[in-house]
Parts: sequence; structure tokens; C-alpha cells
Amino acid sequence: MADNIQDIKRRIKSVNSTKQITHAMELVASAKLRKSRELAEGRRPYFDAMIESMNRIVAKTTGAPNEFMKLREVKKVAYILITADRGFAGGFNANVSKMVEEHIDNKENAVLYTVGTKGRDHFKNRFYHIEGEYDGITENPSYFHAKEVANIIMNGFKNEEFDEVYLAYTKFVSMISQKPELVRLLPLKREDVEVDSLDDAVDIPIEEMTVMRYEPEPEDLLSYLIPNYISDTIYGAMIESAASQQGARRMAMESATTNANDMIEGLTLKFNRVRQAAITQEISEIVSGAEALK
Amino acid sequence: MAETFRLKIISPIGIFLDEDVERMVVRGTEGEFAILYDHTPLTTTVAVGTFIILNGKEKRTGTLLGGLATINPKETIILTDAAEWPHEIDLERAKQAKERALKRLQDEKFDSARAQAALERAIARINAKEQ
Repeated sequence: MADNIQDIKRRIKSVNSTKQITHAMELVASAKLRKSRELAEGRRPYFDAMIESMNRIVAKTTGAPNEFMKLREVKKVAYILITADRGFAGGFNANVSKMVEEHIDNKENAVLYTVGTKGRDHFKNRFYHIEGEYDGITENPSYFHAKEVANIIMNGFKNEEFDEVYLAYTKFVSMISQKPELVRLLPLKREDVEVDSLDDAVDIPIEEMTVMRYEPEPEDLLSYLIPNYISDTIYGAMIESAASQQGARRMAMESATTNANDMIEGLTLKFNRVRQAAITQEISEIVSGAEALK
Repeated sequence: MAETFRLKIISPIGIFLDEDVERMVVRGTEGEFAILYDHTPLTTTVAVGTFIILNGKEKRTGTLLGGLATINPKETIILTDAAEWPHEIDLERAKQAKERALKRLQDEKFDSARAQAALERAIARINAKEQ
């Protein structure tokens, strides 16, 4: 056989050490995934309560729509793209980046805000205009990071630097499935803040609602709540992406570990065959040598 | 025992507090006010500052970093950016943050609104710790 017994031995060793790394990464990813999911669960009550307050306040406002709800002619579009800082997560980064790339119909009119280095690199290499980049926060996002991004976005929108804002992230469907999503963040749709099916966490009788006083005016409260809504939506997207990132990485590493196991199995079989062939050959040489001496 | 109302303080990270209390004093943007059982329904904004919860003789303080309070006779919900108990506050860090914010307010390079907000947060934390 052509393969050297030493070469096969070396390959087994090399595949085995790779396997150990991928297996360790798989375990780390599952631990981080658990943490991200806890964050996502913690955010839920705040989001529900906020939507409810917004609902009630929006119902009270009668005047002009809030500046973040106004539609205007779309000249420039901003994208907030949430990816990971690190690879080794299967198609995670590529999927969401590609989705944004497909959505952009004119490169000149797109402004990008990237969270995570992978998305930034993807678009930098293709010479897109990247206005803001935020690195090192994707694995453990905090509300204040999200708020920072939200403030910059809202200022840009207010100053008419762009007329629409899209948020691209990866939705965590289940442990084995993550789906890239693109949602319009600004201008706000009225139905975003007006949901019919309210969570029944807080039960307020109608008569109490009608006497509810607002201080300051509902319009002012709304302009306080909307930035919070946007911050929290970005925060939610960051958490979902963080969970998806770990989920995708866990999957990728799991299949890498399985592949390594298969490879080791194949190589071990080959190794044994080569070894056996060598022994058989040696025996037949000895036998034929002894035969010749007779 | 005085009548109690349900108080919920919720931040984006999770539910900070969910229990029955007798009285709560918070700093609104229009000044300090107390919430008791059977308060008239009111929705108002909460400023960055300390809050006090009174339950019989027990008194607890903490900080709220801004938010929105929805007050109903039997229940009050406060949505806040962040809430903290004094033991969660690092006094040294708050003091440093205060110094830094004060410096930044003098310096035109920095965004004064952000420095102002940072200063308010730092002062609220220091007050809560020292009470």
C-alpha cells in the first residue's frame, strides 16, 4: 500500500486534536446560548409592558403624528446589520449579510450601521458606505449599547440623513434553526404600537382608563416612549442575534466534531489494514525465505 | 397595617421588583411625589434619581435611571432603563464617573447632553449609597 504507516498515524493525531477544539467550542457555545436565552426571557416583561403603555397613549393622542411616524419620500436608506464578531458559525454571518445586500437596490443610497465585525468586513470589501460600526458587543449585548445605536439612528433620521431605517438580524427559531430577518424600524408603523391582542398581564377596567391623567401631555409621553421602543427593539434584535450566533456555532461545531469522528474511524481502519498488510508481508517473506533454505 | 398596592419595577434586563408595598416616593420629572394605595390614575415620567419604598417600619432605597410610571389605584408599574439597589452600586466607580462627567461638561469636544445624563446618573447613585 502506498500510504506510510507513520503518515496515517500523524493524520489521526491531527484530526483528533482538531476534534478536541471543535468539541470544546461546541460546549462553550451551548453555555453561551443558555445565557443569551435568559437575557431574551428577561426582556419580555419590559417589552410587553411598554407596548401596552404605548398602545394606551397612542389611543389618546389626536394631534399630528410623532416625527418618527411620518412617512416621507425615500431617498436614502439606512440599515442596521447585526452579525457576529467571530466566524465558525456556519452560514450565520453570510446569510444575514446577503439578505441585506439583496435588499439594497442602489449602493449609492445605502447607509450602513454594522454591529459585529463580520458584517462590517462583508460590506467594506464590497465598498459600501459604512457610517457606524460597533464591535465586541455581539456576544453579550447590553441595553445601553442598544440605546447608543438607537440614539445615533434617531438623530440621523431626524436630521433627514436618511428616510428609512431597516434592522437586519437573525431570529432564533429553535436550537437547530435560525432565520435572518429584515424589519423596517423607522418610520414607525402605527400598527407596530397598536396591537389588538394585549397581554392580560395588567387588567385595567375601562372606567379607570378614561380617568387616567397624563403628565406631561400624551404627545410628550409618546416622544419619551418611542426612543425607548426603538432602543428596546434594537436590544431585542441584538439578543436574538446573540442567541442565534451561538446556536449556529453550536450546530457547526457539532457537525465538525461528527465529521472528525468519522474521519478518525476511517483512518484507524486504514491504519490497521496497512499494519496488517505489513505483518502479512513480513511473514510471507520469512516463510518463503525458510522454504528456500530447505 | 396600612393598605398596600402592587408595585412592579421592570427594566429591559428583567423584573427588578414585584411586590406589595405601602408607600413609594419617586422623583418625577415634575418633582418628587409619593404613591399610596388608591392613587388617582396617572401616567407620568420618572427622572433619574433615588426612590424610597416604605413598608411599615422597613425602608428601602434604590436608584431609577429614568422611566415611565403608570399609576393605578391598586397597581403601579414603572418602566425604567435600569434600577439598582445600593449594594449593587460601586461607590468608587460612581465617583469617578461623576468626575469624568464634570470634566466632559467643561470640554466642548464631548456631547454635553450625554455628559449631563452621565452626571445625573452618577449623582443619583452616590446619593442612594450614602443615604
